[in-house]
Parts: sequence; C-alpha cells; structure tokens
Amino acid sequence: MEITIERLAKRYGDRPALDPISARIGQGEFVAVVGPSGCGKSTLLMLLAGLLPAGEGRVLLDEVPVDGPPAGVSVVFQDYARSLFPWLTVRRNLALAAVAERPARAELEHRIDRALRSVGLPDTAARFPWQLSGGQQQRVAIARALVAEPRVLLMDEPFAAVDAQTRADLQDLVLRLREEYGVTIVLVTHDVDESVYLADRVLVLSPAPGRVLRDLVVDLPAPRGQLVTKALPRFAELRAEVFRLVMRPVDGAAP
Amino acid sequence: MAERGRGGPASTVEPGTAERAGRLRRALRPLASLWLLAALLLVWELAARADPSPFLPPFSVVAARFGEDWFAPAPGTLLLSERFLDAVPVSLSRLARGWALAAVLGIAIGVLLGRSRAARALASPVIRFWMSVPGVAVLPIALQFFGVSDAVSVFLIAFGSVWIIATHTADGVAGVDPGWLRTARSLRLPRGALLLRVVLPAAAPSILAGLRVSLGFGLVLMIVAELYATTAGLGHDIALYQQTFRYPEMWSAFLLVALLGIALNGAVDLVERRVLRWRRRG
Amino acid sequence: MTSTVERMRAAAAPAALGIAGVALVVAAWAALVASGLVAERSLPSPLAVAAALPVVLGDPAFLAALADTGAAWLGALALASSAAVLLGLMLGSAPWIARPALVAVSALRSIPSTALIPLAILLFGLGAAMKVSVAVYAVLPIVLINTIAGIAGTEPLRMAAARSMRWPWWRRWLQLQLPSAVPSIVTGVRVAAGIALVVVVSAELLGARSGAGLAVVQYQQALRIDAAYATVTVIGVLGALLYAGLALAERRTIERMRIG
Ligand SMILES: Nc1ncnc2c1ncn2[C@@H]1O[C@H](COP(=O)(O)OP(=O)(O)OP(=O)(O)O)[C@@H](O)[C@H]1O
Ligand SMILES: [Mg+2]
Repeated sequence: MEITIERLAKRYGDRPALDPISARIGQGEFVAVVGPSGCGKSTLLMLLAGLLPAGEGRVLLDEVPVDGPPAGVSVVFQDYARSLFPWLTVRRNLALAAVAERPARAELEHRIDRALRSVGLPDTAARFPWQLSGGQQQRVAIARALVAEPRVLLMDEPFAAVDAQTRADLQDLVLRLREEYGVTIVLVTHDVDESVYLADRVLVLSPAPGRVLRDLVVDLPAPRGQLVTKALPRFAELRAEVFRLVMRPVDGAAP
Repeated sequence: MAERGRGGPASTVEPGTAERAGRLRRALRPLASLWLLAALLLVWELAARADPSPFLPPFSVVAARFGEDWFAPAPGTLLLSERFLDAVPVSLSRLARGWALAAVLGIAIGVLLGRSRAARALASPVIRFWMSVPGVAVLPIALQFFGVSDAVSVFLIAFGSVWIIATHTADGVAGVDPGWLRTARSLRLPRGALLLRVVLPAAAPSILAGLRVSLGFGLVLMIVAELYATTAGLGHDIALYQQTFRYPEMWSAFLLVALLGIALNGAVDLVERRVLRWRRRG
Repeated sequence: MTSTVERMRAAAAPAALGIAGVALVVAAWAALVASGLVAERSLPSPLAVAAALPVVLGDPAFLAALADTGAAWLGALALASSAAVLLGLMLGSAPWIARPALVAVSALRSIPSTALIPLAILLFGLGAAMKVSVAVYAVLPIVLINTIAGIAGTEPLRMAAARSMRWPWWRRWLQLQLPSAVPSIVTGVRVAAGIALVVVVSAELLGARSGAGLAVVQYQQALRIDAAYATVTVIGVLGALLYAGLALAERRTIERMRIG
C-alpha cells in the first residue's frame, strides 16, 4: 500500500503539535521517522493509523482518505503492557487481530502459528502475557500485528523498552518480516543508528511543532546485517548526517 | 494500577515442592488467626453460663441445637433436615433470583453509563437518589404492587443491589486504561468483541467488587423481606422462633445464616481469584 | 489555566444534563401512569405525589419521625465510628493481634445485621437503643477494617523514624498513624453512613415505635399511597444530599492529607 501525506497538521487545544507535513511512502518501502522528544512523532503515527482525527490536511492509503482505523493497517505501540490484553492468552490476543475480518477457524489458527513462529515464540500460545518477559511480550505484540496480514505496519518505538541484545534481535526480525510479508513499514524511533540501519528513507522532524527537516535516502546495500552494515563507511556518514540534523540547535534555519 | 505494566520473567508452569509447601502454609495461615474467635466464643460460653439469660443461651447449647435443627441422619437428603430443606432453598432461590437480576441490569446500566460521559451526567442524580432510598423504605410500596409473594423479596433484593453494581461497573468501565481502548480501536474490534473481550474484562475488578458488596446487601434485604412479609424462609423462621420464645433455635438459625454468608462470600472469592488471575503478576 | 467562568461553564453542563435526566424519569413515570398499565392504587402520578409533598412535610408526626430516624442514624454512626477508630488504633499498632481480630470480626459480622433485629427487640425493646444497636453492629466492622487498613499503610520509614526518635505510643498514634489512616477512615465512614441508614429504617419497619421508615408503612396502611411515595421521595433527596456532603468532606480531607 502506498501512503500519501498531504499537508497534514495537528494541534492539541491551541498548541500546534505538528506543522503541515507532506510526504509519499511507496508500496513496500521502509521509512523511519526520527526527531527530538515531543516533536510529534507519535502524533504523526496516530494520524496515519486513523486513531486521531486530523486537524488539517489528510492521509491517503492507495488514494483512499483515512478516517478511522483502516483495514490492512497494523499498529505496534511503544507500550506493549498496555497494548496486549493480560486477561487473554497469547493465542486469544493474536486472534483478536483478525476478528474484524472473520477468517475461517483453521485459517486463523494457521496464521497465528505462523506469526508466532516468525517472531520465534512458537510455544507460547497457551501462556498469558504476564508469564512472558518484556522482550517476549513485545514480540507477541509484533506477532499480533502480523496476524491481520497487514499491508502497512506502523510501529511507535517498538524496541524502546528492551535490552540491547533483544533489540538487535527484534530489529533483524523486522527486516526479515519485511522480506517475508512485503509490507510497507513506518517506524518511529529515538535511535539514530536504528533508523539508518533499518530504513530505506529517514524522515527527520524538527523540534516541536514538527515539520520535515530532511527526507534522507539511505543508500545502503540490501541484505543488511548488524555487523556488516554497521561497519560500512557509508553507514557512519549517514548516521552522522541524521545525528547532526536531530541535534541541530532549535533556532536553525531551514536546510 | 502502577503494577499493571510490568512483565515479570517467564515463570514455570508446574509448582515446585517449595511452592507447594508455601501454598500449604498459606492455606493454614487463616487457621492460625482463628484463636481470637475461639477465645471470644469461649467468653460467650462462660458468660452465658455464669449469668443465664433466656435470650442468650451458651454457645455449646446453640451448637448442639444447630446440629439437631438443620441436619438429619438421612442420606437421601444429603444429611440435611426437613427444616433445612424447607427454609434454605426458598431463601437462597430468592437471593439468587434477585441478585442475578440486579447483576444483569446493573452491569448493563453500568456499561452504558461508563461508555458515555453524557449518559453518566444524565443518570447520576437519578441513581444517587435511588441509592439513597434505603431499599426497605420501598418495601411497603412493593407489597402494594406484588402482594405477599416471592416477588417482593426478589424485587427488594434486586432493587437494593442494582445501583451498587451499576455504579461500580460504570466506574470500572469509565476507568479502563485508554491504552487498551486505543489498541482495540486499531484492531477494529466489532462492538460485541470490544465489550466482551476488552471492556468487561478490564472493568472486572471493579464489577466483581460491586457484586461482592451487593451480595452482602442482598443478604440483609433478603432477611428483611422475609421477616416482614413472607410465609417461609430463614428470616421467617427467625421471626417465628422469636415470637414463640424458642431462643436456642433462633440462635441456631443465626449461626446457619452466618455460615451461609461465609460460604457465599467464599464462592465469590473463588470466582474473583479465577477471573482476576491476570492481575497477580507471575 | 482555566478561568472561573470556564470552570463554571464546565460544571454547568453535567448539572443541566442531570436535571434533564430527572425530568426524563419523571416524564416516563407520568407516561406510565397515564397509559393505565399500572393501577393508580399502586403508582400514583407524579403530580399526585408532588401534591402530597406539602402534606407530608407539614405533618408534625412525620417530621418528628424523621428527626427520630436522623438521631438514631447519627448516634449509631458516631458511636460506631469512634469505637471503631479507637479499637482500630489499638489493634493496628499490634500486628500479632490485628489479623486474628479481623478474622473474628468478619466471622461475627457474617450474620446479616437485619437478622439480629428480632434479638435486638428482645434485648432493647422497641426504642431508639434497638435501632442504634443493630446499626452499630452493622457498621462498626466497616470502619474498623478501614482504620486497620489505613494504619497498615503508614509509611514504614516514618514509623522507623518515630521509633528512632523514641516517640511515646500516644504520640505515634496521634501524630503519625491516625493522620495517615484518616483518608481510609473517612471513606469507611461514608460507606457506613449509607448502610447505617438502611439498617435504621429496616429496624423501624420491623418494630420500632417511631421513625421515617414507619411513616411509609403508616401512610400505606392508611391508603395514602401518594403520601407514601412522597415520603420515599423526601428520604431519597435527604439521603442524596447527605451523601453529597459526605463525599465532599471525603474529597476535602483526602486532598488536605495529601498536601500535608
Ligand atoms: N493528548 C494530548 N493532549 C495534549 N497535548 C498532547 C497530547 N499528546 C501529545 N501532546 C503534545 O504534543 C506534542 C507531540 O507529542 P508526541 O507524543 O507526538 O511527541 P513524540 O515526538 O512522540 O515524543 P516522544 O519522542 O517523547 O515520544 C508534545 O509536545 C506533547 O506534549
Ligand atoms: Mg512518542
């Protein structure tokens, strides 16, 4: 699915949270959104997900304007504890993602098992979320996003709450999932390394109210790997570039 | 509530021996706390013997009476006496009907109110008013409607419990973590699934608290209705024993009512623990 | 930063809705009566009940009964609360007895309070003492449990500090445990207030010589069903006002304790 963002803006009360933003994200593209804290990244993601009404402008998914959570879009929230339902087993949590489209029972079971295998947790279906570690819960949240067989995956700092090792694992998991499912991915992150390592393009937002400072193409070779990619000189250049943009003093003029 | 977010380490499913021993100790702990109750019963016994009063027979007399009154050496009736079978099922069925009615209505009303701030504002003075009318005050009016019948007790129990359940449910539903609701919205859950899988379970702690409190109220009101205007049931029996000066029997009925109350509470406890398992993190 | 006007407007909307809600219920009631589905003998029209209000409120017997009920209610609440707080302070500062005491109390109170009314009549006759005794039995455990819970929630660090300063027990009670238990106690008293009212009215219904609960019966038996409804309305409005006052007091104390 192609995402078109047309002069999208949002204010909370009379405080602007997002200045008009325009961008186009192609089918199957992986775009990372970075920017200083409070600049409106989560707001942008919620607008894309149809979870917040837009103030101005609009979002189009394959030419269709978004008003409310669209079919074919899955969201992974930053706070997995408040996104998985602790009273349901992992299997039932995952099943909820497909309730809206009512697949046949066998088909649903198949999708759940496949999603759990994809995230490396094939044996947890009968457990409750609170019986899993934080990183495992985050992986369940990703698996749930996959059960809906989305064509767009929106993720809000999905790896912020896990340790470095799990984080690296989850990053590679997401790269593999993109190969496997061919989805369009928008990833909000605080982590400059992560954005450059994962994405095809990095959208750098300005301090609040956010607008696009730079739309940076990440021209790193395809299969990416923690050791190989991060050792490339080009990786270091891009990383420095994004870093410089994010760290820019607030008064700075447009690039 | 702050606890809610933390994920513990994966816990083993099978209880180990240490855990089993801990569970045994936990099961025995209430027994260790019983000594004061036993001491109080002993004080009762001694006081009643030292200064005999027809109104307060010694505990031993009451206990003996209790065995005679409510139990019989007849296996066909599960060792329960005719008196038990005449009174208890009648009373419990009234309680069950009234309380179930209150639970269904109360949860339905509570969900409606909890989901909409406007509905809450619209209904809150009315509900506050009905909550403040002691259920018993409408008893004479209920008699006018239903005559002396089971319906009076059922109505009274339902009326006295429904507002408590409704307000607890409304509080619980209104307080559901917005994070869960946002997730549900992004999953595009249909109304039914949203209610059954997300809203009600998330509000369950509050709903169950309401059900528990209202059960105590229901018991109180069941007895009032039976004391006031019925021809059978535990409350009716208590009134009868009082009026016919059969005080040990009256006390034995008190004891039975108390034990029934404890049993019902225990049952709610059990359900609560099962339904709210997810709140006790790993 | 909301101005006073804005705040008042924000508060006015729910109040208007609330009035609309009451109007809706009264309208539905009038429609029900007008439709003839229920007998006028069982449910008089809102107008008839409104017309009976002055009769009821002007009836010196009813006002005296109301005063009786109020006195019994207040007496029971005051007695039970002060006894429960004292007992709770004693039990709460000795954990070895707090648990057994809670077990004993919850066992003893599992007899529904109303079942004890016949016994209370035997012991105390039909006067105020009977109502008060049953109500005290019903609500003392509630305040007691809340007191003990509140004391158990005293900041352990502050307790340790008090101990290291060698405060005498009475000072620990007055300056540390009681203040930290106050919010919990106030909540207990608010809950107890509602239950005490139910119990007092029940006791009146079942055999007191006077009281507002009895007034409903007397009107009903005198075939003044409109006056019976008017009485219920008065009781409900008074109860709601009382509750609102208590809830406000509760919020105030909790706020103050949090700041202090
Ligand atoms: N519901 C809300 N009501 C009012 N203001 C809000 C709300 N949500 C966010 N804001 C404000 O809007 C701005 C953007 O918030 P947003 O959550 O989108 O930032 P963010 O870029 O995701 O920040 P972070 O990186 O810290 O998560 C912030 O200044 C925030 O204070
Ligand atoms: Mg954010």
